[in-house]
Amino acid sequence: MTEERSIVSVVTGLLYPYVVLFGIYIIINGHHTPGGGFQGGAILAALFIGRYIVDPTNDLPITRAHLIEKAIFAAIVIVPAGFILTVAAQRVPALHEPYLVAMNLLIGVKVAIGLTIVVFRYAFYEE
Amino acid sequence: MIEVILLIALLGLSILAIEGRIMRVSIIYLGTLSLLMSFLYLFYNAPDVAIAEAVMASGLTTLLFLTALKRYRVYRICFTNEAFRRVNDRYIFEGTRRGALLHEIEQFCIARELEPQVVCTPESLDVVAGTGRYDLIIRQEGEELRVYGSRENYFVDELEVLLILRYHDLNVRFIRSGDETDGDSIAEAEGEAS
Repeated sequence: MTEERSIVSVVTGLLYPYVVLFGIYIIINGHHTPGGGFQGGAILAALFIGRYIVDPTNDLPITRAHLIEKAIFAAIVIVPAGFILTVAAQRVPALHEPYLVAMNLLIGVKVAIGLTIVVFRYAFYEE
Repeated sequence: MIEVILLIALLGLSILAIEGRIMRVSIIYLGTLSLLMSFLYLFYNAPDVAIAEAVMASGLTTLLFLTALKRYRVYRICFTNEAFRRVNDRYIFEGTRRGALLHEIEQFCIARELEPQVVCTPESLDVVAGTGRYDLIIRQEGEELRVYGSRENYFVDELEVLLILRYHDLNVRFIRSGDETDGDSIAEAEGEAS
C-alpha cells in the first residue's frame, strides 16, 4: 500500500463490513422496506469499486464473474417462469414471500457483479 | 423551509461544480449534490428513489469519475529537494520563488485541461524516478532547478518556453528522457546532458 492513499484505505477498511451488511440487509428486506435487489446490488458493487480506488490491482476473476452473471441471468428468467406458470403460485400463498426474497437476491447479485465488471473492464481493458 | 434550503444548496453546488477549475473538487461537489438530492427525495416521501440516488449517483458515479480521472489527464509533478530532511508545506506554497513557480505550473496545466497533482518530497532523484509514476520531475539543487520530462511530450517544450519567457534570471535546465520517466532513461539523459 502506498503512503499517499493510506487515509482512504483505512477509512474504506473500517467501512467495509458495514457496507456488506447494509447491502445484504437492503436486498433481503427489499420486499417490504425501501430498497431491493437493484439498490442493494449497487451498494455491494460500490464495495468492489472502492477497493479498486484503494488498491488498483487486477486480481478479480473477471471471466468467472461473467459466467456467474450469465448463469444468474438465466435463473432470473427461469425462476419467475417456473413460479408463475406452475399452479404453485395460486395454490400456496406462503410461497410468495420466499419467492420475492429469492428474486431480490438473484437481482442483487447480478447487479453487483454486472456493475463491478463494467467498472473493472473500463479501468483495466479500455484504452 | 427545509425544501427551500435544500433547493438553494443544490443550485449553489451545481454552479460550483460547473465553475470549479480543479476537476477533483468538482467531482466531490457533484457527489455532495447527489447526496442532498437524495435527502430531497426522502423529503418528498420517495425513500426507494432516495436509496437509488444515494448509491448510484453519490457513490458509484463519484467513484467512476474518480477512476476516470485517475486514468486520464492527470499530470503528476514531483518536486524533489534532497537538501531538506523534512518538507515544509509553508516553504513550498507560500511566498517563495519556488511556490510561485509551482503555482505557475499548476495554472499552466489547468489551462491545458490537465489535472495537476503535485507531490513534494525530500527523496533523492533515483528513488523518485524509480517509482516511474511522475510525468514531470523538478529537482532543486542549491539555486539550480532541473526539470526532467519526457522527450515525446510536447507539453514539456511549452513549459520550457513559458519558464524562459517569464523567469529570465531563473537558473533552470530541462533534461529530456525517453518516453518513460524510469530510472534508466533518466540516468541516460543525464549522461547525454552532462
